[in-house]
Amino acid sequence: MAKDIKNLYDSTIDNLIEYASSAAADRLFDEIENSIPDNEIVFSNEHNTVIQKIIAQERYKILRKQYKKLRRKLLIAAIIALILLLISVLSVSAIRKKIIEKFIRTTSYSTDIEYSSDDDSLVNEEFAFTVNYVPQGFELKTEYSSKIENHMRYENGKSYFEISKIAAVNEMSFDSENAEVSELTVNESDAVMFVKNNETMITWEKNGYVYWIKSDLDKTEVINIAENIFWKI
Amino acid sequence: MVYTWLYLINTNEYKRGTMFFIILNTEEDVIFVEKLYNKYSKFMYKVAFGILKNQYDAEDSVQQTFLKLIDKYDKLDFSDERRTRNLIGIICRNVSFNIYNKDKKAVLTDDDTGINTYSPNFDLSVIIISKDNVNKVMEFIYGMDDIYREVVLLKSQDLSVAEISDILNIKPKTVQKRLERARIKIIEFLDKEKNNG
Repeated sequence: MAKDIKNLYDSTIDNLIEYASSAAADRLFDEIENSIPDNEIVFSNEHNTVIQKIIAQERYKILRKQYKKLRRKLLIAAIIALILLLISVLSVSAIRKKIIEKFIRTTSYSTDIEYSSDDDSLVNEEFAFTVNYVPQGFELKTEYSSKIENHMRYENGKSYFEISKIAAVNEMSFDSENAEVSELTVNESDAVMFVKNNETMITWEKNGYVYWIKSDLDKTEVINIAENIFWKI
Repeated sequence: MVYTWLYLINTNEYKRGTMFFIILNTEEDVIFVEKLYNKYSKFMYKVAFGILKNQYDAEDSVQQTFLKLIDKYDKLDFSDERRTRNLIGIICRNVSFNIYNKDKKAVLTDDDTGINTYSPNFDLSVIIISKDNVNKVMEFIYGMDDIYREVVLLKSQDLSVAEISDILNIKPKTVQKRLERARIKIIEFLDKEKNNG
């Protein structure tokens, strides 16, 4: 019983205070509203500037937030589009093969080129080639031949070019680290050209023999020399 | 939520170093807050000027009240016009008192002289919700110390203890204590009135 009375007392007091305080607030602020006529209040320019600054900064923050959201969405869309493009491109086997080979060629420090012949008897054959185009000023400096290699070196002061013909019995490796590697055709044969440190080297295979030419001349000139090498076998 | 620090640049020592969080999410929020300012700026000025008595401090109070409204934007209900006005008025009064106290180096303290415990011996007939009693209590609240009046007025705007604590920047425990003491004072007042009547 005492508890019920207490609860009734508490709730009644609370309601009374609520009505009274609400009325007190109304009365207080009604009086304040009428304390100064509105037309007598003129805010300073400084104050108006501060308020405008507050509002402008908030607008700017919201715009920046929206821009960031949009940029994120565009980035995600671009990544998805790129992935789809890559998938569709790599689904074509020819393109895939070219890309992989290109990747291997340009990232390997050493490029392996396989030339091989099933006929070991080539090792015992003597063979020769002629250089039909020699740039002006160059002279034959060294020449040697063996059972498996024929080599010539031409020089013009500090400049040089050298040509070798080797029996293709094994794989050969070339140091292609940081080299510019490209493919071309020399005398109707597929060739590979390396350009590194102002030196050019071209190698190709023909009739079971490997030819390579190396020089510090311009690569166009080196190609020209290569195109004018003739061989009997 | 978008948070931004605002540094109110002003030569007044009180204003220097004042920083606030702002929480608005959309352009509509900004427009609403701008309308709120346009509607109540002069009212806020009147509230502030009544306490601070000079234009410079009153404008400062208006700016800080505006920032506080934005800060508490998502926690306040602005649906009822009269209630909105009263709420803004109470917040502005609180901000103005803070500026006043800082300028005058005066410190408001809690009144510890009142009775702190509820007594079951009070007469129920004291608290009949009559127009007469409501008016009496209203007058009493009107004349209360600021520290009690503010919490009672904010409570009358249907704000929770946590929300009042947030607006007045005091601990929830302090809000609760002040509400209880205000309540005791009102009860004592009513009892005294009954004995005098």
